[in-house]
This record gives sequence, structure tokens and C-alpha cells, in this order.
Amino acid sequence: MSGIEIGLWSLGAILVLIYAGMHVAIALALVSFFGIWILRDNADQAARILSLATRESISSYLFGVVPLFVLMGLVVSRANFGRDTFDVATRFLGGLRGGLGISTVGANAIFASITGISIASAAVFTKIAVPEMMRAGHSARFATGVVVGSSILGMLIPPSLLMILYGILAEQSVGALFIAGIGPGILVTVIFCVGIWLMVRFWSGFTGTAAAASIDDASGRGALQEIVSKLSPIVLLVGLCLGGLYGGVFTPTEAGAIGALGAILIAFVKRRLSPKTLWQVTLETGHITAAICFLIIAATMYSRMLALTGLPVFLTEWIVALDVGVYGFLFFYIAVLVLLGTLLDSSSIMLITVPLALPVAQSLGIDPIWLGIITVLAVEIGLLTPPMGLSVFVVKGALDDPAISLKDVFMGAAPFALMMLFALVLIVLFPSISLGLL
Amino acid sequence: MSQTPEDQATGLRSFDALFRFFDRITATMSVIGTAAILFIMVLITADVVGRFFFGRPIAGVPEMVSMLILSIVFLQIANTLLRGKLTRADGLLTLLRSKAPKVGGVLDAVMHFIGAGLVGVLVYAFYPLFVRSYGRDEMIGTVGQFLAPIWPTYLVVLIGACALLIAFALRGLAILLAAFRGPSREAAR
Repeated sequence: MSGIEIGLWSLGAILVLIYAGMHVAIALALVSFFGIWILRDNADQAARILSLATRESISSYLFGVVPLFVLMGLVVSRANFGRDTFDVATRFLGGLRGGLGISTVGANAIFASITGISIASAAVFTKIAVPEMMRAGHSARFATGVVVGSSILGMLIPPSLLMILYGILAEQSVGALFIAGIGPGILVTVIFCVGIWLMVRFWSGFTGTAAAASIDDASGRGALQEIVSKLSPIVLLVGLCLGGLYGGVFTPTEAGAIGALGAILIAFVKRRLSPKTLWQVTLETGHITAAICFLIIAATMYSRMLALTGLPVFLTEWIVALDVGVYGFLFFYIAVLVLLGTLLDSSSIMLITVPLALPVAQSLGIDPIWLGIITVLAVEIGLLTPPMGLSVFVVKGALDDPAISLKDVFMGAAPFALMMLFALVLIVLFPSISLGLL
Repeated sequence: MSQTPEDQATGLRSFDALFRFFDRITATMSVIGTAAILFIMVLITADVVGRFFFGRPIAGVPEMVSMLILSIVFLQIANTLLRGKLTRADGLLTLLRSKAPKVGGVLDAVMHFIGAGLVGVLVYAFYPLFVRSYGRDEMIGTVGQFLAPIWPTYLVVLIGACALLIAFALRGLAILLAAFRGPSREAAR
């Protein structure tokens, strides 16, 4: 067997094993181990490459960024900052047609700028926004769909765990990726808002007819005070953590540490966090960190094995010779990501595809930061699509309402998946949406 | 949503007790890892504050963080598996468990045993790295600024990997036993 055949077989084996239910990291490491064994005809050497990947792949200062941003995201979710953003957003946007839906998207966009995990946003806003929307008269499908759809903003608007992961895999600056995510984040937010307005206006069979949202009439100084008190922690956190990062004062790891500590302190001052909750949240952070970093170790083994097979070089030459151009390649790449997204979770997809796609993209002259944004958004569409739609599962799990079936939530999320695809097309056609701020 | 050993209760009293005991050990390791995360957060903040306000960064923070991250991951990894939080796609397994619980249980157990085998290979290959770092007294950092031995980190990796191996084996066994000894709680849910 040639190296390339082994590479292709290993790719197939990984997909089959993961689908059969093997832990993703084990599947990647196992196939890499046997792949290298066959290639080199030496089991000892294969084992040594595993141990070297373990030693080298995550022991770097940059990886401090993973637990710190996860911790920050979990703290702000647990401390009810999501409720505050939702309150403020309904105050400004609640009067519009479909105002509650638009408020949910707006609140999610703001909340996303202090959290980097979609799962956290999805759980928080299911509890806050879904009951409000259904009470106002929206259908369950629409209400849950809005929450599922807008939860993806958590990982699109920086900080973002997926961008951190891509930055690590592709050896790109996490800070640059964060800045490149701002434009696309705003674009998706606007598309969602317009889409909701249109749906409520022209497709009331789907959205249900909502009564005008009841807005507190408190105005003047009292209202202003309330808005300031609800919004100031978030503004403070964004300024402290991301401001320092964009200003070039902090490294991403430092921004994570200061953001996490800042979130904890603010939550303590506002009496939103007990030491016990903080401890639980940190334990959860530890589990998430361990799972992600273990995946990264396994992905390092896998990409070393791939390099030995020569598959990336072969693939690059093949695609360049096909002469499909940048758009042809991107079309194919996005299709693969969305397809994989129906079965696998976001981080696994990136671990498998990025080492293969990046060399091709670079030889085609595609900016790796731009590719990162495209990858993150395409992979996130997978969070919304059946049968494996993680965001949908989280929303369903947080609902506690057996009357709303999983199918309803998937149906509700479908329009938002289409809108994301539309946004993705725009981002591909106009690279400056992502790269303009760099 | 997180799982505990009780979810895989097999009804074999001695085995369940062993499983619970081991679960406690991994939970303790996880607590140490958790404390390390908070420590990193405070350490980096102190470094930034020292740099800005006193013009004096703390020596060796990048080295300490990079070593601690590796330790944190391996302190948590066994507990992460036992809580059912190690990333996997369980769509097919869930389907199998509802249709054919025994087949599903066997497949799930096999997956865990393969995991144990692979981690065994890792332990076997990592041990020489640890021995060498200890024997040669390998250091991280720059002479004159900050120096620390590497071997404690590698020891933690080794211990964590061993714990993961045991966790895979025990959890696989528990799933297998539960599948053949009447309805397990997982199937009942």
C-alpha cells in the first residue's frame, strides 16, 4: 500500500470509528498509531510519536487561553448576565415587529462578546427568552429556533473557543482571528434580525402571532440607572479583556486571565456568584479543558501521521491540477464541513479537516485567517442540523417541556441554518467583511 | 447530565465499591487540577499588574503556565471520562441501547477496552521520557532568570495516564456487566 492509500484508509477508519461511538481522541490516536506502524513497519516508533505528541503539543503558554476563556464564559452564564442583556435589549427593541426575537438575537450578540462557548449561550437563553416569546404568542418552533440560531453567535463573535482551536491547529494568531470575527459576527446578527422581521411579517403560520411586548413604562432617570447598572458589567468586561487584546496590550492568554478574574469579581460584587458555584463552575471548566486539550493531543498525532503518508501534499497537487480555483475549492470545503457537521461535533470536524485543507488553501493563496472564519461559521451550521445538532440538544435539554419535541426545535432552527449559509456566501464573496479590520 | 458510577451500577457489590473508590481518587485529582486553573488565572493577572504598575513582571510565568496546563489536563482526564464528558458521538450507541441493549452494551464496552489499550501504549512509550527527564535533571526556563525541573510535570502526566487507563478498563467492565445483569439504569432512562 502506498502512503496515500494508507492516508485515505485512515481517514475512512476515523470517521467510521467516531460514528460507531469511539471517543474522538481515542479514534484519532488509535488510527494514527496503526497508520505510523504500517508506514514505518515499526510499532515502537509509532508509540514514540504518540508520547512525543503528548509531551509537546499542549505544553505551551498559549494553551492557558483554553481554560481561562471557558471559565470566563461559564461564570458570566451562571451569574445571570444573560438576563440583563435580554432585559436591556427588549427595552430598546421589544416594540418592533418580532421584537422579542430580535431582542434575543441582540442580547445574544452582546453576550457573545464576553463568552466564547455556544453551549453556554444556548442554555442561558433557553431559560430566559423561550418562555417570554411563547407567552407573547410565538410558536414553540419559532421561539426555540431563535435561541438555537442566535446561540451560534457565542462562538462567532470573539472571544471564541473555536477560533482559539483553529488558531492552534493552523498556527495562526488568535488575536487576529478574534478581530476578523467582529465583521462576520455583526453581519450574521443583522441577517438574523432582518430574517426574523420578515418571518414575523410574512410567515405568521410558522412564527405564531405575538402580542406587542409589554415594556415597563419606567422612563427617565430610573430607567437610565437600571440600564447602566445592567449593562456596565458587560461593557467593563469587554473593555478590560478584549480592549486590551485589540489594543495590543495583552496576549490572548493574559486577556483570558484578566477577563475570567474580572468576571468573577464583578459577579461577587453583584452577589450573583457564591464560592460554591464558583467551585462547581471551575470543576466544569476543568472537564471541558481536559476534553479539548486531549483532543488537541490526539489531533497532533493524527496530523503527524498524515504528514508521513504524504496525503496533504498529494491532495494539494491534485486540487491545484484540477484548476477549480479558490471558489471551487471553498465550495467543496464548505460542503464537506456542513456534511460532517450533521454527524460530528464542531471541534472534531476542525481537527480532522484543517490539517488537510490548510496546505491546499495556502497553495491557492487563500488567507488563513479568512479561511478560519469560513471554517468556524461552516462548522457552526452543523450545530443546527439533524441528526447531531449540539445546540438543538442543549436547548431541548434546558427546556424541561415535553410538549416541545426535538423535531420542533430542529424545524425551528432550519431557517436560521439557511440564513447562516447565506451569510457564509457573503463572507466568501467579500473577504473584506472578515479582513477589513485587520 | 453528568454521570456517576451509580449510573453503571452492576449490582456486584464488591465491583461497585471498587469503582466508587476509584471514582473518588479521580475526583480528588480533578480537584487539584481545578485549583491549578484558578492559580494560573491569579498568577497571570499578578504578572500583568506587576508589569504595568510596578514595571516588574514575575519571572517564569510562561514556563509555569505551559507546564501547569499539561498537568491540569492529565489530572482531570480520568474524571472527565468517568463523568461521561470525554468527546464522542453517541448517536449510534443510544439507538442501539434502546433497540438491542446487549449489543449496544458490548459495543460500548469494546470501545472502552480499546481506549484502555491505546492509553496503555501511551504509558509504555511515555515512561522512558519521564525516566530520562529525571535522570538527566532536565530543566525548563533560562539560566539566571527562572529554572524548574520538568520531571514533576511528566510524573503527573504518567499518573494521569495510568488513571485514565484504569478508568477506561473499569468503566468498560461496568458497562459490560450491567448489560448482562438485568436492566442498567442507562437503558432505563
